[in-house]
Amino acid sequence: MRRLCFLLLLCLSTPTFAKQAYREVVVADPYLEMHTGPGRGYPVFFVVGRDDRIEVLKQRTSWYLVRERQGREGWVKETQLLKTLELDGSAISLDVPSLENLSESRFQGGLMLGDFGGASLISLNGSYGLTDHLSIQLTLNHALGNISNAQMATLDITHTMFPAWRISPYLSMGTGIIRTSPHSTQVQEVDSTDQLSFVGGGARVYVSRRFIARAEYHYNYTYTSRNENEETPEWKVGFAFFF
Amino acid sequence: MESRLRLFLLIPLLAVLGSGCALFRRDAVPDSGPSTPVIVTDASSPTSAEVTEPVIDPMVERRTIKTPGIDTENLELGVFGGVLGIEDFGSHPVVGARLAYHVTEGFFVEGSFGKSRGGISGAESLGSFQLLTDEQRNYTYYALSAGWNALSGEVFVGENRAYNTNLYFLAGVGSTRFGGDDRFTVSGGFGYRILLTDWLATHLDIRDYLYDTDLLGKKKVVNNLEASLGLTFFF
Repeated sequence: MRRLCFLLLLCLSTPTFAKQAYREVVVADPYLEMHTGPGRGYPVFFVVGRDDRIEVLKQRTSWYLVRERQGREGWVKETQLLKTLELDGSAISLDVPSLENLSESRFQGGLMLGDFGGASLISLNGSYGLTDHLSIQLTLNHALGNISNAQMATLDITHTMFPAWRISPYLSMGTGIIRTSPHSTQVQEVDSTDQLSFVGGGARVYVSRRFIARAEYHYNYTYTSRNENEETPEWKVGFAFFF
Repeated sequence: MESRLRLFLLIPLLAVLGSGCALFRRDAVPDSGPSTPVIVTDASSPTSAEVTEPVIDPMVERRTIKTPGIDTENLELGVFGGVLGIEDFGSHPVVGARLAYHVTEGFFVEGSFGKSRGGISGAESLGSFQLLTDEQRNYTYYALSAGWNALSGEVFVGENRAYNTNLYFLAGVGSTRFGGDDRFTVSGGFGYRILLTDWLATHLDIRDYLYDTDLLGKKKVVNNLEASLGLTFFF
């Protein structure tokens, strides 16, 4: 009987899961407002007083979901949370993206729209920074025209001239492949896959948080299997995010 | 003989007495300072370290406190299903997936992919001919959109339940493949997001997809309207 009780106790005691540790901070302002949602229009439903501790559960854009001592959960604006203190009394350190982070960041991803030799162009890109100035970029393009469409995948190296500035020009050169497919109503040509290379330049503007606006121009050379190569101008504008 | 023996015994005795009982002393305090314990702060000093054990060792190793990071949930991934009206080819079920990145509380960008299938057009049923092959009736599209949470609010279910909501507007570009060709597509619409928890949301979306086509002989702009219900989660 005693052994049975022991086994029963063992079974009951085993499923003890570790509680997730959240960041704890202390309210330093006279009060901290908790909103019902992550947006400025949501009403304040509770106020945490000075010197009370709160747990920071998660972040969405510039809002933070916090839990106060009695278990109430609400959303706090970043500007208010920045005025709280760490448990050791030092000012809270939050990962608030800024222009300084842009030059330190390594990854960027973005979307651009434009024109590729008269066809509408949709472009997705991702880049990895080798140094502050140099980065390699992979771009996937989809050009949609009246007569034919093209899909491109290119790899380029980009030199950003002033990475610490809000506005910085950049130069790029790269190569890739282009797959051209005429519309089904066209009869003269079949799909073709060729190599292309390009040189170009553009400018990027830091907008806010992780958001960058970009505009660029490329001049493409397509090495076709015909007697002459194709030269295609391309421009596009868009935005990107850095991480 | 006796005096020699006496001398032999007296020499060590004198030596012991002459040294001032130094043989019997223990670790003595080096100077005649105060009797209270001395806190040795400089452990590198050999004389003080030899002499006394520190009562309090101030060189306590500082504890490194690891501050837990804050989980960011700006990405929203989900699936949707609904009805897509393909102009001239009837209304048909559509399914797809969406991924959104929330930039600010107001703006987000979204990539979506959808799949449907066109039916028999009016011209085909009247003329009893086949305009498209079976494979060409597959309808797929992608759209890259920018969204704006225009109206945020709450809905109340009963007395004790409130859910956060957003009415948002979207505009985007993309491509539609139907009838064997990819067409540049402009899309726009609006949606209603109800957050069931702080990470799970349901969507009701109405979107319009516009593109040029000449499938039926004459070039024209088609409007393909889509109504869908979706389920997404933030991560």
